Amino acid sequence: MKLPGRKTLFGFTLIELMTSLGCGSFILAAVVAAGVSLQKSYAAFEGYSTAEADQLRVLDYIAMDCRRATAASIGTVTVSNGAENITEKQLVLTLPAYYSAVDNTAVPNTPVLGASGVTYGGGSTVTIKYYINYYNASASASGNIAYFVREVVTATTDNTTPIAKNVASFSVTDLNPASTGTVTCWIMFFPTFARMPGTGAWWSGQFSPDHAPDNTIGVNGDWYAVNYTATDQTTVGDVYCKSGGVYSKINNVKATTVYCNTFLREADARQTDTN
Amino acid sequence: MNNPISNQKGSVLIIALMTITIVTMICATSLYIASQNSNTGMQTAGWQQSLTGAESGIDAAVRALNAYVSPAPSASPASAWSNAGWVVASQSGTSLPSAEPSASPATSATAPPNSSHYNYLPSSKLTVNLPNAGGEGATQVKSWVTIDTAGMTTGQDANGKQWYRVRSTAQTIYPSGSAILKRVSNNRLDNDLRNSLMLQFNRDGGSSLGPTRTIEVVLKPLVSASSGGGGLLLQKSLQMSGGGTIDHFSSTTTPTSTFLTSPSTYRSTFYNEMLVGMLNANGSDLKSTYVYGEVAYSTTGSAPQNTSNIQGTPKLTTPFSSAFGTVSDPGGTPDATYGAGSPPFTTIAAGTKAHPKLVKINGNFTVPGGQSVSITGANAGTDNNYIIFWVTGDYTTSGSGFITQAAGVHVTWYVDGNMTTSGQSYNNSDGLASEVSFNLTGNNTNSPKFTISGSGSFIGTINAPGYDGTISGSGNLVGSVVASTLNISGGASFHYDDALSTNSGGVNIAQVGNFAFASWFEDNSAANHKDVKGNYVVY
Repeated sequence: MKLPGRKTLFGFTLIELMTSLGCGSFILAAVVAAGVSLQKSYAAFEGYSTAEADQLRVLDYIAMDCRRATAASIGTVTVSNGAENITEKQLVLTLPAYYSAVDNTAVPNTPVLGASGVTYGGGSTVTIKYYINYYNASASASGNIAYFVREVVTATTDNTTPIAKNVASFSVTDLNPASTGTVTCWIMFFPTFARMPGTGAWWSGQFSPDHAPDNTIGVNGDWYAVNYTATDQTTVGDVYCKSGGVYSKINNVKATTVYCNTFLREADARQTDTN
Repeated sequence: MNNPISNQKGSVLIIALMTITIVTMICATSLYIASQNSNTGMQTAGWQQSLTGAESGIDAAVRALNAYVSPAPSASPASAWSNAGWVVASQSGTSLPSAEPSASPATSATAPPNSSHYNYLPSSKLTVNLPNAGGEGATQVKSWVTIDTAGMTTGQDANGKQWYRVRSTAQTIYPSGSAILKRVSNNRLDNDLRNSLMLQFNRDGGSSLGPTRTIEVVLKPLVSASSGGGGLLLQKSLQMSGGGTIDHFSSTTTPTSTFLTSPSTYRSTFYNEMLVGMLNANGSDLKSTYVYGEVAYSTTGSAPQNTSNIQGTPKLTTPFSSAFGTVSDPGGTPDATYGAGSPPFTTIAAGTKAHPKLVKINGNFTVPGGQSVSITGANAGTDNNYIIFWVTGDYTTSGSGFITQAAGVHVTWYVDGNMTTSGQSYNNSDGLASEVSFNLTGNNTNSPKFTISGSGSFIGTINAPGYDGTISGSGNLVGSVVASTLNISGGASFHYDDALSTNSGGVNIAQVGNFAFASWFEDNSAANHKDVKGNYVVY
C-alpha cells in the first residue's frame, strides 16, 4: 500500500556532507587567499609605482636645480620626527633671482652686465634646500613619516614642498677637488614594494637595530633600514622588522637607493671652496 | 524518477562569478598600475628630450657666435648664420618673444645681433622628427633659439667686446590623438615639475602639446691667446702661493712706475676681465690668491682649487678654448752675429722700425754678476728704435748683472733654450711691457723652462707656450705671460697691462678666442599655475 502524502526525501550521507564541506572550505579559503593576495599585490604595485615616480621626480628636481645653481654647499638642519630631534645634512643651492616676482606676475629678469659680471634681479639670490622632514600620511601636518622635501627661500617667501615619500636617508657629498665639479647625491627609499606599505612605521639609522642603541626604536610591526651613516657600509640598506619586541633582519630585502651625479653648469659653483 | 542533483546547481554559479570577479580585478589592477607607470615614464622621457633639445639650441647659438673668434674657423663668418638658417628680427628694448615668432617675412642673419635686433633660429631648422607616426610616444622635439644683446654694451666689457644672451626653448610634441594625452597624471607633483599636466600643458603657449623647457645663458667673449690680451694664458696649470696678487691696469693712463708704488690704488676695477685662462686647469691651486678679475678654464680637467678670493663675478668662467700657437725663430739674415759670451757684448744699438736690427747669438747669452749690457736707440723719431735678439742657447742673468734698455727702444728676444733672470736685472727704461717681448721657442732644450726671481719688477711680455714657468721672490711681473704651466711663489705678483691689447691709436685689438658661459639658468616657471601646495610655480 502506498502511503498518502509521502514524498521521497533525499539527504546527504555523512560522507557526502564531509566531502562537500571540505570542498567548500577549500574553495572559500582559496577565494579569501586570492583576495588577500590581490590586496597585497595591488598595494605592492601601487607602492612600486609611487616609489618609481618619486625616484624619478627627486632626481629630476635635484639635477635641474644643480645645473642652474651658482653655488652649492652642504648644510645641516634639525627636524623632528615626533619622537626626537634629528640633525641631518641638507643640500643648499644658490640660484640667481631670475624672476621678477614669485607669484603669477613673474617674468624673467633681464641680465645686467656690470664691472663685476652678470647679475639678475640686482644681484639677489634664491636658496633651494633639499633634506628629509617628517609629516603625516597626507603631508599636511607634522608626523613621523619621512618625506624628501624641497624648500625654496626667496626674499619674500619660504615654501617647502614634500616631493617624495618614504625616504630612508639622504646623502650628499661636498664638491670633490679631484672631481670635475659635480654634486653627488644618494637617496635611499624604504623598500615598500617588498614590504607592504601601511603596515608599521619605517625607521632608519646608522646601527643595526638588533642591538643597542636602536633596538628600542619603534613597536612591533615597525620596519628599520640601515642608512648611509653606518660605520659598516656593507650593512647599508639592510632591512629589519620588529616582532616580539625584537628586530630581525629580513635577509632577502635591501632598501632602494637612487643616485645622481650632476655637473654644475655655472663655473662659479664648481669652485672647490665657497664663501 | 526525479533527479536530486537538479536542486544543487546554484553554488557553481556563485563560485564562477567570484572567480571571474577576482580575475577581472587582477586585470584591472594590472592595467591601472601599467598605465601609471607608462604615464610617468612618458612624462620623464618627454621632459628629458626637451632638455636635450634646449641644450642643442644653445650649442647652435655658440657655434654661430664662435665663427667670429680668432683665429677664425670659417672663411666666411657670415655663412655661419645664414647657412644655419638664422634670421634677424627687430627688438623693442630687451624684450624677447615668449612664444616662437613667425619666421616670415624673414631676413637672413649674417652677423651677430645689435642692440635693436635679435637673431632667431626657427624651430623648422632645429627639429628632430621621431619615427613614430601613429604611435603613442613623441613625434618631434623642436627647438627655437634667440640671441640678443639684452642691453649689454661693449663699453661694459674690459676689452670692449659684446656679451650676448641666448634663450633656447625646446618642446617634446605628442600627436593630438595620442592616448598618452588622455591619461590622468598620477601625481600632481610630476606636473608641477615637468609642466605636463596630463601632458597637455604647453608652458609657452602655442597649439602643440608637451613638456617645454627653456634655458637662458649669457655668453661672455674670452680673448684669444694669439692676440696679445688676457694676462696669464696657460695650456696647463697655475700654482700660486706666498700672498701675491693678480690684477690689471693700463699703462696708457697710469705709468707703470706710478702703478707699482701702490697697485691697490691704481689697479683696474673692471673685474669682469679674464686675467687667467687655462686649457687644462687640472691641479691648479690659487691658494686663495686675490685675483682682481676672472679665471677661465676649459672643462678638460678639474676646476682650479681655492678660488674664494677671485673678485670677478662669476669668479670662474668656462669653457676656455683659445688657440695656442707655436713660436718660431726669426727669419732673415742677421745684421750681427756673436758667439756665446758672458756677455757677448756690452753695448748695442737698435735699428729702425722699418729695418729692426737682427742680432744672432750662437750659444748662451749670459750676463753674470758685475757685468751689464746696454741697448741704445739713437735713431730719430719717437717710435723708430727696434732690435731683435736671437739666442740659440740659454738666456741668463745672474747676481748683480743687468741689462738696460734705453727709453724708446723696442726689443724682441727669441730664445731657443731656457731663460733665467730676475726682475731687477732687466731695466726697461720706459716701463712699458709692450717694449720688451720674450719669445721662447724651446728649439734647443729638452726641458723648456723660464725663471724670473728676485725682488725687482720685470716689465715685458713672455710668449712661451711650451715652457714651464716660475716667478718667485717678492717682485712683480708686469705684462703678460703665455706658457704651459706657471708657478708663482714667494709673494710675487702679476700685473697685466691692458695697454698690450690696444694699438697705437688706443683701439682695443684683442680678439675673441671663444665664448664662454657667464650665466646658465633653466626657466621652468609656469607662473599662472599653482603647485600642490597652492604656490605659484616659479622656482
